[in-house]
Amino acid sequence: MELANLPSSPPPPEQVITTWESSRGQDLLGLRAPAERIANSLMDGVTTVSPLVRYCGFCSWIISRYVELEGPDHREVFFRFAGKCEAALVLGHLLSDNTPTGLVGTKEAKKIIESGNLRIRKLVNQPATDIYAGPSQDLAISFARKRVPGLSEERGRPLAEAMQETVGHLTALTTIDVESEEQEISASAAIELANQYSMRDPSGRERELLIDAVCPPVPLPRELARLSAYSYLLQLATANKSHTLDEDTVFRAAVEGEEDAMPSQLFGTSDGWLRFLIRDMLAAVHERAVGVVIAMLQECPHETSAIEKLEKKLTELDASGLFKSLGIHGLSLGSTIGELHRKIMETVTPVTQRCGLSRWEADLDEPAVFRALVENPGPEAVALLPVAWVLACTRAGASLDDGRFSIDQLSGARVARMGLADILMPVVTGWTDSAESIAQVIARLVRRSVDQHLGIAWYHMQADPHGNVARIVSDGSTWTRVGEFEPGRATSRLYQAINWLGQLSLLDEDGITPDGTVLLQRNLTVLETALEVR
Amino acid sequence: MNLREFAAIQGFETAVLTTFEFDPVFFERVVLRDLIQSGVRQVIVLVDGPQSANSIEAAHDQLVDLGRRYQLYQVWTKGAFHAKLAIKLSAKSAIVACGSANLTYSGWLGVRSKESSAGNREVAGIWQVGPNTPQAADLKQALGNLAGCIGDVARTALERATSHAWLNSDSSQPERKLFVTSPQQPLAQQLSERWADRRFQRMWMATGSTDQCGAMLAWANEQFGIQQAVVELDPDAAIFDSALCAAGQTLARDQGASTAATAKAPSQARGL
Repeated sequence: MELANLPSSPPPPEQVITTWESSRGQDLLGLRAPAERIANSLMDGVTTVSPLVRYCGFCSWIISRYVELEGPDHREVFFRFAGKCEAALVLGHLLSDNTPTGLVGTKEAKKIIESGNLRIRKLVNQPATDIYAGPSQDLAISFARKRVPGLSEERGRPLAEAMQETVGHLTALTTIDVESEEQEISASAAIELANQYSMRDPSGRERELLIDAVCPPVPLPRELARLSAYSYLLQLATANKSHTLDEDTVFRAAVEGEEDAMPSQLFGTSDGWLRFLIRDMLAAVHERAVGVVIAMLQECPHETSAIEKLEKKLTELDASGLFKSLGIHGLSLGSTIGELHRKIMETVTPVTQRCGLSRWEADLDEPAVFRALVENPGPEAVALLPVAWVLACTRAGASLDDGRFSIDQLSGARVARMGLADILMPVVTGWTDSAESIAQVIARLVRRSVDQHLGIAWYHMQADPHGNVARIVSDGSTWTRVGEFEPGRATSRLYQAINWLGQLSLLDEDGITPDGTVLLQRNLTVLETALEVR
Repeated sequence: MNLREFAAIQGFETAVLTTFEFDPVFFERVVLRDLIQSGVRQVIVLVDGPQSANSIEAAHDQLVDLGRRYQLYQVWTKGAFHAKLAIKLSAKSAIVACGSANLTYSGWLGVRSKESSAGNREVAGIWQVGPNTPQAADLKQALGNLAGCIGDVARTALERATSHAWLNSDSSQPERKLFVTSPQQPLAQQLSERWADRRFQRMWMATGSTDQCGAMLAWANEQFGIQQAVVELDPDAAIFDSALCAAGQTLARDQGASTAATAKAPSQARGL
């Protein structure tokens, strides 16, 4: 719409139409972001799309080789070269029937093999060299430049040199040039590469350097959190020999605090994961609430309903079984929110407090809420909303004024992301002696969940005038479903981090390996020294 | 017609918006952002008092710009404050959007496509207003009518925001295509004056809701001699009742093909 094209007199009215592209977005309530911000501050480097730590080494060799071949400072030419190197690696692994999960470009590589004409080229829009650029930079292996990334003297170059010793003589890689789009490769050369350089198992000097990048013996100040996070995993693997380390084990340990079993250097990480869980719990219950609304709208004529009608349906649910499963007995949605608040507080009497976080012995906690979400797939799950709010405030409410430990400060959650100080605490404080029914409170929190979703969709609109991630249209008194919604949780990346430790032979099925134990001791010493210096 | 594009047109420092329904969170996050990014520095919003009281109360802890980046004035008047005007002003000219769209998600954005089932079916027209034109006279009169139905504080703010010399010293004759109604100047009166002594055969109109007895149709028949009216309406909100319609009026309901798409698709009532 251009000013110059507007008529100079009122024209006949036209229908108001705002076209938009269907956008895909994972964090449709914006509540996962605060949790993930906490997780990122605990553990940088690993991402959900970087499952194979050895790519960090392989990419360092690609950068080094490109410089050796005097490739131009040109982004497209660099990634074309990198793409061919990666393609040789993928073809080799496929041909030798040794393909780990997470290898980039396997789909296209399979087509090449099926065609019978083995040629290497850039297989995907975003090659691994680009995907792993972020993790490599976090680990101080490489650094970003405008066109072609650079290698750090301390970690990148030694890693590339170690790689050169392993693969520098292999024709599958040494014959790759900078200039051509595509090149031929023999099956035997590709298989030789995969046999010499399995992406599953980093080995030799390269493995040692990767371990030192993930858990540096001389960390930068910003790396202390990561060092502590990986040490925490190694420590838990030491203590949990009987079963494989997984995300649930980490979360359970964070909830319990384990002051007696955990070195004090790792308390900060334990508290960090507990803060992550609090924000993750809030994200999960509110996303489920929007999921419930969308499922209910799907059953309505034209997928539209008056909001009040929908709220009335929610108030008629039977949530007594859900409450009972959480250890809250004798309550229904007709009970008062004051009673619910009192019963929860009687159950979760704090036993310890560390860095502003309360811990208690009862099983009514964040993992219990996650379990209840799984066990109650129906609309009754909305009854978890007030429970989660009370738990969050009880857990983290004491430290909101302390900038070092405030969950709002550390998660970046203010008004728009349901910060505890701005949003939850004033409401929950008001529940202590409120005669309002739980049903009324739930109806309001469900509406708040939808508003939260719409608010985030509107934030997206600011950035992209033609994008709309809203799954509901609201006109104030009605809601209409306009899209699918998959409720979920925030991403911790613990799965990927634990996998990295496995690939580096620091963990195995029996728990921590001898190398892992040595590394853990080294890390704890480094952390202790760093804490003393501080 | 895309009202976000209207809000994004650059070159205007002041915006005056009026609405019946108001979604403050949507306004702050979409409309206000579009206005500010377009260079608008002063925003005045006039809203129906009873409607906005609830919506602002419900969202009060999510609002960050109210009173800071925009001034909102609730209008408490006899009946509803139903004007939907958006005016962007500069020291030289203005642009105006007028239609049925409230400052809500479904109102301001309307529908995603003509076939879409979600969102409101809204209409609007957009035009520019230069100095010494009939449109400037219309705008001046409309602002005057608005000032007539708001309180003293709001009136002062509105008059200050719209005190551009080009607008206020304009002596052109109004075109009378822009009406803002008030208890003192209802639409019927303004239309009667606009088309004084004229007679018409047919009338087309679109509305969100109706009364039971079709009083407006009877008035149009009496005032202008209207013999046939086509009324596009929301079947959920229309309550025409043929038993109560004045003698001589007949109502026919035509569900039409387009009504199959959605409950809010317009159906038609033909009468008189």
